[in-house]
Amino acid sequence: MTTAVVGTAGIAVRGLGKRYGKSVALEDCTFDLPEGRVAALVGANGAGKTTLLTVLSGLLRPDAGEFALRPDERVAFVSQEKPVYKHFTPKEMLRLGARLNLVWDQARAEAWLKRFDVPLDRRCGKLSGGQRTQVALAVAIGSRPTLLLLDEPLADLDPLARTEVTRELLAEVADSGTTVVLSTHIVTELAGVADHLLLLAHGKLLAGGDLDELLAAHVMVVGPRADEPPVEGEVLWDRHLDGQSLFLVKTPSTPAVSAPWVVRPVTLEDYVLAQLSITRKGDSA
Amino acid sequence: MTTVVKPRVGWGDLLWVAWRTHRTAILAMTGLTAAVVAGVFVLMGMTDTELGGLPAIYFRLFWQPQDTNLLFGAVIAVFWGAPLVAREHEARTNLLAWGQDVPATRWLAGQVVLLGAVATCLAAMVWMSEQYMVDTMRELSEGRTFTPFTTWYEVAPHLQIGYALFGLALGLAAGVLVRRTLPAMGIALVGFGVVRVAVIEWARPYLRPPVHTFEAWNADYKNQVPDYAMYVGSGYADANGVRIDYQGSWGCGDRVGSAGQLDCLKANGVAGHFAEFQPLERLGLFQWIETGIFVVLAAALLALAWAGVKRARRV
Amino acid sequence: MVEFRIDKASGLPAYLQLARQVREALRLGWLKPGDRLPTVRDVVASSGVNANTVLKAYRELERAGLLEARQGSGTFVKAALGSVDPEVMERVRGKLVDWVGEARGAGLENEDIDALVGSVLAEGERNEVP
Repeated sequence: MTTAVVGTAGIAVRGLGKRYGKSVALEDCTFDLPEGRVAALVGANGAGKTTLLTVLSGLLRPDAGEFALRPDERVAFVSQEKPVYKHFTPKEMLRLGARLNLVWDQARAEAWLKRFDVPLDRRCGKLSGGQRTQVALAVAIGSRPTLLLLDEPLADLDPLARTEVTRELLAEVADSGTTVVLSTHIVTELAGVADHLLLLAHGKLLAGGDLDELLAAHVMVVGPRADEPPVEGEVLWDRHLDGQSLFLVKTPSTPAVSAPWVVRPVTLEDYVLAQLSITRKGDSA
Repeated sequence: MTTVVKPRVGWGDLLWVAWRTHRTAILAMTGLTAAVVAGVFVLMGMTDTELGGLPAIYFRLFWQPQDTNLLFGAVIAVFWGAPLVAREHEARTNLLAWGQDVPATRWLAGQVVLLGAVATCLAAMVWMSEQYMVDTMRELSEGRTFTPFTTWYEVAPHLQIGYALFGLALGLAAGVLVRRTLPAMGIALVGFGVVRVAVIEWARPYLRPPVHTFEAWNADYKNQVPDYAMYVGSGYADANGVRIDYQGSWGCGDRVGSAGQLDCLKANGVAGHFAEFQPLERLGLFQWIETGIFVVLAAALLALAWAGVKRARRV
Repeated sequence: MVEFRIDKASGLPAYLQLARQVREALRLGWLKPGDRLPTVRDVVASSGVNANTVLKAYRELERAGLLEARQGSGTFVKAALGSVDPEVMERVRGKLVDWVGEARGAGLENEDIDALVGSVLAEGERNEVP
């Protein structure tokens, strides 16, 4: 399945498709992800994020297409349920990780659990959801993967833990050069965290690429109510309030506008919401 | 650096994981089996004078030696086999266990080898208790209870092990297919019972072509099935010994007196009686053939489970 | 040592925010030529940005001639950002005072002026994107 795909990418995905009965989970998904990137996999619920990650983890067989990883790639996958064996203690979970992996860093895994105050000798069944997440992450980190796939890693964590986990994860992968793909629907917390975007809707890849380049290629033009923005370029999305119109415009350079119009840089949130609302309109049409 | 690198994940690792995962189940089952076996030994010693010195357990509890292993195989199927993969799916821990550096199939191999080995040892324990049971009864009853093709048939270590491994594989395959523990347990229980009874009823008498004998009508009825043989069938036959089924249209049943009936039957081509049976000498062969059947079934079910966990179409 | 902060709600790419904060530190004299910048890992651990973002910011500043990477020992400040000539500063300030007067005259409140200045600055930053 993972036959040679030409390219220097860490992950090369070509025409990947997966359906469950009649419902399409993933359709014609094609992208390259260079090594060492931290990619955010963004999309609404049911967009196919979990399916894509599970296919890349090697646990799920796709129906169509292929993907190639580095020949020596070692993948760690933390699914959204953050599964752990309830009758194991965190210490035993690490032991399981050590036993089932070719590479294991006990000190790192233990440090992760200590960092987040997870008791090592209490059964996982008695830990909180957040603590179980930390155990699942510790096993993934201890295995020193070259590709780390995280499905909604922050979902069960409180806001403080979320920031800390992100920070620690980024520090871990900065040390090892690990490629990361993390799915999330909390777009606001991704700035600076991810440097690559994979945007999925209804199983299709809407946009993918370097985050800074994607955002730099668009501007938000804001002004009085109007049907068209006073700038050149493709209008991807527009919204009209009582006295104001907003246009998301794809343009290679920042256009000059005169008052009362202003041009704002596009935030990741603007971009994602605009892209997603386009597909919603497309569906109803 | 604190990183440890090893060339491969070995059997020690896989077996450790299997042991840690099923520790409680293994200890519980071992304890239970040991208790039952010990109970049999104790009860066999408590002979009952009212029953002519026979062990109380045999008559009072209607306990047959083969009951223990029928129960044992079913318990292995339901409590070890069925949850093995089904519980992983329910808790989603399959995504954890199969997402490390070992493929799901190797993980499964570790689980099956450990549970299979322990089940083999426990089956041997069950066999020992049964062997003791039949030996004691045979001795005390001076051979009266020696019915080799029923009471004794299943008291063979290899056969017991075959049943236990079949139970494990059946439960496992059910769990892989339905992915939920309770339904898998139900399928394993029913499946185990049905297959065991079906083999006893429909396969066992025909594992080899039965010995066929024929006796022409004679003044004295002669029993053609030797002592200790397994009775397979008997009835009317023509002069060549070929079976003839009695037809109601002959009307022989209305004839008064046995002589009249005999004439009627002869008039319809019945020349005598035939009998079919499996002689005692075949007992050992039959036990091995049946073991083979259950081992082959177990292997087929294991292959099914193996294919089921290997890169699934849904997880 | 400088401490980096990323404003996640800002539309400005994170690497540009980092680069701007280094420039500020240089301008304010917190960083001087020869000083060593925090390692990528330190920045990642302290500010929760991705390593590639930090690298990109450092490379950006290297290209601008402000930093240099020394093989194996880290990233160092190469050149100071000189403070602006007082005469030029005075002239620019004068223009700004006039401009603010004009804006107030047109009925703009302080917040409007902030927004306007912000949007013009953001445009400028965006044009720095290679």
